[in-house]
Amino acid sequence: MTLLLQTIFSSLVNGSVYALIGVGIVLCYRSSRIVNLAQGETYMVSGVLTAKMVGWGDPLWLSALAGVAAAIVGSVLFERLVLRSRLDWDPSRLIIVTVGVAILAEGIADRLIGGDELSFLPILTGNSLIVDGAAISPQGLLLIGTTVTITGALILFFRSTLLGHAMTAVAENPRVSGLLGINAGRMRMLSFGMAGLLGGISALLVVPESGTGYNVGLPLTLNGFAAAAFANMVSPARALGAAMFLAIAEGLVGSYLNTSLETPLVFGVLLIAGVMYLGRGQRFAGAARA
Amino acid sequence: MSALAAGRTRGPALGLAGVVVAVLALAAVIALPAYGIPRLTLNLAADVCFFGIACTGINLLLGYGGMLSLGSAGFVGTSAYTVALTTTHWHWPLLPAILAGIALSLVLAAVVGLILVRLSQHYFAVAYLGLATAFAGLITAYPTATGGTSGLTTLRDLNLGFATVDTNFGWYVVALVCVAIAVAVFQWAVAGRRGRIFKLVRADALVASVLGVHTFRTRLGLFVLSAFFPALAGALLFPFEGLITPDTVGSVESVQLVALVIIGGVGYSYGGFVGALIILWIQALVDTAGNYSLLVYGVVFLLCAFYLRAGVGGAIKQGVETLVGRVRAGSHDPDLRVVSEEPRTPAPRSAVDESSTGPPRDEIAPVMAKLSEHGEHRARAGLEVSGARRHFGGVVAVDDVSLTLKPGTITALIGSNGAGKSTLVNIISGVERLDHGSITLAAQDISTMPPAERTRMGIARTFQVPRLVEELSVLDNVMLGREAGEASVWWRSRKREREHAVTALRRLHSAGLSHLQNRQVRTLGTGERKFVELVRALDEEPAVCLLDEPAVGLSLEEIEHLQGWIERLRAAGAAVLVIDHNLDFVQRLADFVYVMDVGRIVRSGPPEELLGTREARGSLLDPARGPA
Amino acid sequence: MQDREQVLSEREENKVSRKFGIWREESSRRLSLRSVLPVAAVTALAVGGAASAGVTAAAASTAHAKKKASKTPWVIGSLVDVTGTDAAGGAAQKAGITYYIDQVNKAGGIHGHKLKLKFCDTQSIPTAAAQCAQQLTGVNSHIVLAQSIDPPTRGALPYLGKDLVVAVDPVLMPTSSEKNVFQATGAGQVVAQALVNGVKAAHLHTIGVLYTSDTSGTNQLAAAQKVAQAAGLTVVSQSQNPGSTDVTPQLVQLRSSGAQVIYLASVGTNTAAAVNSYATLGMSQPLVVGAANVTDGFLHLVSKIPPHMFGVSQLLQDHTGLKPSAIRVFDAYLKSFKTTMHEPADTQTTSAVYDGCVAADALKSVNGTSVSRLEKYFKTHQITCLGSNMRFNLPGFNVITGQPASLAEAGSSATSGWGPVRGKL
Repeated sequence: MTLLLQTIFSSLVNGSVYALIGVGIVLCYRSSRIVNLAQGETYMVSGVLTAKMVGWGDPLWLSALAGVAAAIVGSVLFERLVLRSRLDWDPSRLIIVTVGVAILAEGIADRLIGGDELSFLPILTGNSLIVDGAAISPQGLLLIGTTVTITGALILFFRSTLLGHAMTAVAENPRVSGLLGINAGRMRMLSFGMAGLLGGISALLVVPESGTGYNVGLPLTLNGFAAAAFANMVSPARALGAAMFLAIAEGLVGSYLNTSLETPLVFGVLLIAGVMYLGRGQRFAGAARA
Repeated sequence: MSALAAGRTRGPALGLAGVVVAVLALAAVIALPAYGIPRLTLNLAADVCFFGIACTGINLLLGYGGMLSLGSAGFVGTSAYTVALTTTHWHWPLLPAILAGIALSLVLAAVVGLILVRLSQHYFAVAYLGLATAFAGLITAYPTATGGTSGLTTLRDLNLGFATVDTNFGWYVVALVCVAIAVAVFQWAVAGRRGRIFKLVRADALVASVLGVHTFRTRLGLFVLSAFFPALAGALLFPFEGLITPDTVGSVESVQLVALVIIGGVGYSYGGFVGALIILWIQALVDTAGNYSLLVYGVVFLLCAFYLRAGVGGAIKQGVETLVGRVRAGSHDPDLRVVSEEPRTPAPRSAVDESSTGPPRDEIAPVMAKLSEHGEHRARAGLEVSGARRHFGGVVAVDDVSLTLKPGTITALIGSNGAGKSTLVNIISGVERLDHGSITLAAQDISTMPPAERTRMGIARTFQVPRLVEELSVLDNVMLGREAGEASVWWRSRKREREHAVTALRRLHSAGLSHLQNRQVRTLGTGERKFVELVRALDEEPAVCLLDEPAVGLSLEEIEHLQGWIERLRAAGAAVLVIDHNLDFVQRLADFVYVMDVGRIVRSGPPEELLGTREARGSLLDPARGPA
Repeated sequence: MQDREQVLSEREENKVSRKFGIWREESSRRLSLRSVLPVAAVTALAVGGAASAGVTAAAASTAHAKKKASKTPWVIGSLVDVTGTDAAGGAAQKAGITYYIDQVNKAGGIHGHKLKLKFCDTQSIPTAAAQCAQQLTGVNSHIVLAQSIDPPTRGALPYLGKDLVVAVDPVLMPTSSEKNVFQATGAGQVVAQALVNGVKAAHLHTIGVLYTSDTSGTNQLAAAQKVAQAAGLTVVSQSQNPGSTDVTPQLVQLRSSGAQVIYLASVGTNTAAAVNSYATLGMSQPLVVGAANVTDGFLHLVSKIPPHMFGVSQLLQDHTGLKPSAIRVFDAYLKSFKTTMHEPADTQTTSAVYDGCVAADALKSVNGTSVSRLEKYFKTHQITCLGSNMRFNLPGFNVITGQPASLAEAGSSATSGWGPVRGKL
């Protein structure tokens, strides 16, 4: 029982990380139909800046603010300078552009901090919550809670606010939305900014657990992408669910079979089965209707 | 950009001088390692070759299949590890091991493809990525067999039986031979008809299946073929590097391979090689910079991704074309000179050449002759729809609709938007299934026939918004109408292609469109596109023509031309169905009119009765009148 | 369709198109600046590279002409993961070797020959290592220093010709076919030996190993298992995926399998994650981290340092078994390193220093660069570095073992920041 509970706790923590990145990717996709594989770099930038500032002696709250702000600014600049003028490009090519930006970010970080691995203190310290021998730290609980809250807020935002509807409209059809008076560029900027915020927050909560370096972005992104794909790239709720599902599946396989088999089994079998299920009923490879 | 259109039946006639220049240029490129360029060693060149080969598979799949392969390193790995395991554990000689590696990868690709190919773009990308990650994970999970994270090693020689390759130069030669094989296979795969069909399936799978292509089989075939390249590269990479580890074959490697292709230029057979050369060389160069290497790599990568839309390969091709274009005036295939004799005039005001008011008399006779050749039952075929019903969830789009299309008549179907007209046409052409009711063509029940079959039986249709392959030329699009459904995508006969090209050109000429033959569809306006689509649809002399809003977006002159065209169809004995909102047009043209509203036929009758007076038109949808 | 071709000139059209983000791909007969730019950049790089190569060649030849009077410098090659996943270790290695060779040169070199280092970035992957090894020309000392015998080094081996490779911090042993590879320090076995000695001294019998499923982790596990078995101890193990944030389930499993000591066979952020998970669980078993983590940097990675955390390292803090003279030399080295390099020495840099020391000693002893004599040296000799005796004790295995340490506490005046970690097992 202890092992099962512990596996679930651990998976919820891991899943929250995937979810935050995945929801970030969903946000970017909703507004621009671009798969943003540079999303993990917002996590990296934020984490590195915060850690560096803490290292220089600045208080945690200031460093955290700076880190999150850097992630938001970076994300917005990315949308504005890199993506906006290239929206008509072939999606595959745009994915590669985002990968290119991710590599560039890594390169810059490499120059700034080299191979150093950095970290800072968690926001919540204190005793873990122990249930039947299984433990979860206060920071872990904070992480899970924040993820769920943010996702819930986003769902409400998209469903019930005018701004949320406007953002969705822009993704569906930017030109028509423009004609209706919605500033597509501003909407996109806003959603990329929100994605940056998510990356920053996830760094704030997760880096104290495991540290960061210049190259942590891409692996995180790929996991988040899997969660987002399950969510058909547009649903934050489904992204959260998918992320948790993936993490729990991985955790169970790791605990009861073999950690090395986590990725093969989860990605290989479950993912494919999942996307098959989700992709059913699509004829003509999803081509537009006549 | 016209050169991008694959499978042109005619290419620029280079002449002997051109061939010599091309060969010299190629030789110069192959000899790159000999120039003493810093870091550009034989070893790097061989590496470029092998990576380029793996990239060519991605190139094929992306450029012609529209599928982003974020996991092809998995096939590199399958092949490499097969070679490694068979030679290390079971002591196979190298050559059979290589063949086994490639074969196993192809089998795996077929199995995996069955699942992946069905998926739409994002799911495909992520599933394929997941596969590569899973593969790397599996390798790590069974370290006793696979050497785990340390991998497997071997001596760096290639024992071919008749010779052993163990010098850098020898390996480079082997690499070049493999490059030649890879490029040859690529060219074969996209030659002529094949390339056109792949592009059609990629651009519009729906139209592809209407035109008779087995889209699933085609995409699966392309997927499996594209796995050949990484498999070949992987099989040779193991003896070449003397080492194979899981990080060579995981997700990050796969993404990097895609990056190489994008930089090099998607769709060009040498794209992967150009990309590999640039990036691998730059990486080797900046190694001296040590700490700056990643940064420089990122910058170069991004620059290429930004500014070279068609990759470096595309820029090179453009440059070459500019040069070549300045040297020669234009290109005409000597055999086709007969049809493309008109001097190049500037594009006229409207889509059609005003000088042609109708087809030359001598066009109708051969058409009639052809029809009688193919059997009169086709020309005389009538289409009957009875009790058709189709619903989407709770919405009934087509509700108990019955209509008849008689041969040699023009039937019009009018109604407000959302009435179900297009859905009905979709049902007749087979794109939508029928929930209830039946459709018969020449007394044969075709209700459950797939769209390709119906096309073969003589049903042709056009779409509300013309669905053509943007990147191909007008001529290529028209040829597809005829050749797409002929046989499997792998079959090709140059003779048949020539015939199709001639026929297509004749049709374009009779439609007054031959001045557009080489234009990319992307550059055409609505009217032109509508006419091109018509030519494509009518290329097979159909028995039943379903025209969905053909007049929308056309100018007055074009509508006149269209009218003449449809009347000629009637004269040839086809049963034509026209949907349109232009009531004058309908009144002039139609022999019989159906009015549809909210999924039902509410009125029907001759056009004078329904559309003759303003009063009649006003009360078309009046429930009091009731169905005729 | 109307007169649009005549209404707008092509340039205006392009301007309009660009503004609305619409590109119309006419077969343009013009190479735009945008497509030429990166090609130009690449060409410029190429020309620049060639030019600088030419410039350096010219400079080298003049320098060479000048040096004809003094003796030719001996160039030692070095394979380092400057970038890639193992960049952290690579940086430390580079610092260590550079420091030591600089010290040697300051003291006048070896028999009048100055020592030069030539680095190449193996980028943590075999293919890049192969490329850079090819560029490692001019290593006239025939000695190449490597981080460890991991995949990148293996990738480079075939291209190093007759040069002898001395590995710094090996966790892997060279295979019998790798005849030109020698290990400078036996960190893998040594750490395991130290661990086992400590465990036995504390009268415990079951070691729980949490290892990362990558090369370094699996091999640290293998070393631990081998040594523990020989000493009659039990080893239970769990693997963690590199990059995982939370490994509490694995620790729970180790705990329930009866582990009395937890050994973390991992490096850097992976170890930090494990330590944080350990703290979350509030476990009380002693926690041991390997040599590579006995660094300042690592301590800053951990949010809460557990009370019973120990590090195994060649940096002897209680100096057990060392002669006083050796202790003085060692402490002097630590001080000097800090002054020169502006950062404290840690295990990895010190391992690299040992490596440089071995190379220098070999060249001194052989008084030349003959491969066969160097080879003989590596197989048979005993040397003293930084006050520690280093000698071969496993014949036929090409290994030079370093000074085995007892399970020392990782905290001392020499490396500041270790504060709370105290006490013996």
